[in-house]
Amino acid sequence: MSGGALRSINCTSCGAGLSVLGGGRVLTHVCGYCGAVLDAQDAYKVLDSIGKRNHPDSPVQIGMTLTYEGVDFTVIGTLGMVERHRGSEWRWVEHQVFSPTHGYLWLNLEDGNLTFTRKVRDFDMRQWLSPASVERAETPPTRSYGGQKFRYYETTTARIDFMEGEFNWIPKLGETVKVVSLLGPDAMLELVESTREREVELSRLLPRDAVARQMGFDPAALGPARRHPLQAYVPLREEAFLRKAATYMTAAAAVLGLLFLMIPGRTVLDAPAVPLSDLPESYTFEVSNTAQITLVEFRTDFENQWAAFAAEILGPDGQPVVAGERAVSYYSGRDSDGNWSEGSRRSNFRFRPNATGLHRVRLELSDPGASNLIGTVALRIQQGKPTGFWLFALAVVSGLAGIALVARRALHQKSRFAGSDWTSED
Amino acid sequence: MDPIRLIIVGGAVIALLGASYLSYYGVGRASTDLAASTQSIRTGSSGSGGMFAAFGRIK
Repeated sequence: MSGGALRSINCTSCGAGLSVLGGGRVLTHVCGYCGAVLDAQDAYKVLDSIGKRNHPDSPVQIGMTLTYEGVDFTVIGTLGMVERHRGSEWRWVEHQVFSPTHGYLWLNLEDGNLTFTRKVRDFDMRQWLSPASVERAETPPTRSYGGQKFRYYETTTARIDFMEGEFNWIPKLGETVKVVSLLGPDAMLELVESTREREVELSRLLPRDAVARQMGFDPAALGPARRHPLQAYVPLREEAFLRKAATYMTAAAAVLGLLFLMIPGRTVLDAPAVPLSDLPESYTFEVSNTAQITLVEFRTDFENQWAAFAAEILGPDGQPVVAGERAVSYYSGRDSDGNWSEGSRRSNFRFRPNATGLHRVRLELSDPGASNLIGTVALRIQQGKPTGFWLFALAVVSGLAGIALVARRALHQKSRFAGSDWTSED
Repeated sequence: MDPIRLIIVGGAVIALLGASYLSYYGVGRASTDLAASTQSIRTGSSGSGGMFAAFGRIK
């Protein structure tokens, strides 16, 4: 344990030696031995007594020191706090700390977490939020302070259950305060209302292990830490850069995919439209590109009809290379919602030729369907046709990765409010 | 540049180039329901072109 007494007194009630650490604005000194409440401004006269009470469970002891943001503070007092509501009980400990240059602040221990609380003097009190106002609100109230937005988190009615040491006010056992807490990006804004005054405080979460070691005790003595709403988001390494990279890659892959999709390939056959009644029909076409996909497209002028076409492709040696069948179905009309259409007048299949040279394609009607041999069909074949598939797939994957990164942060933000007592009435 | 950033940028460039290559050459994008010949289509056999899937419901 570090720190030391500036001077000491003897309790005017029981005679125990008490360290005096709290500076000139201390009003009360509560004897940790007999529970006498002494008037620090008037020769330590006994004002009251809380009797002998069990010390709340906290490894932080009076006299320990803590350096926070470069300022040394000494623990001068301990308050045991309790809130009881509908049969449940919550307990925490508030330690008053003192710095000759920065005055009186609070080091709090709740659920294994350490927070540091200071009073806020420049809060616009016209923004005051009472528990009654919270009850009337239809959405979680928000308040602004220091350029940050704070959203309602919880309302607490806290009661003093234990006190020991020095305080710059006169606490009373059983005294209650109502606290409306609002959660901001990295701090909790607390609007504290007692029977005597209204105060605004700002709390920040401390790194418990580092603080414990600095104060001279084992972090395990703080007990297991429950998730705290002020727990900072822990980003992945280079998360912002990763998010940016995912965004750019999604855009680049999508644009490239569209570009590839629009590249028509080289048309090697553009047969004129023939009536369905004239099928089957044969055509020849020259294949010079076996590295890329060749697209075989059936183009009809169908209107409220369907039929199935087959195209058999023979290689330069006259042997079948591949055959594909596609249905073409197109229906349209008008109803109470307006014009509608269904299907497409075109269909296609893709294959990869395995040899260059003159190919022959035989187009036939494999199923006249509802066409009644009315209408025409034209066959078009393009070689060297890129697809956008893999680029679109990459765009989807990188887009999902970007969304996952954003969602990770959003989920953290949502989880911060998981302990809020706000309930929406639908 | 930070090595991690270098890896991210390198990975992104490789992924884009790889996807562009696959898309340009249509790797894996040939239709999977083709038959060896129209005879195979008529009989419903797959021939050497893999399983032929008949088209679905037609209005």
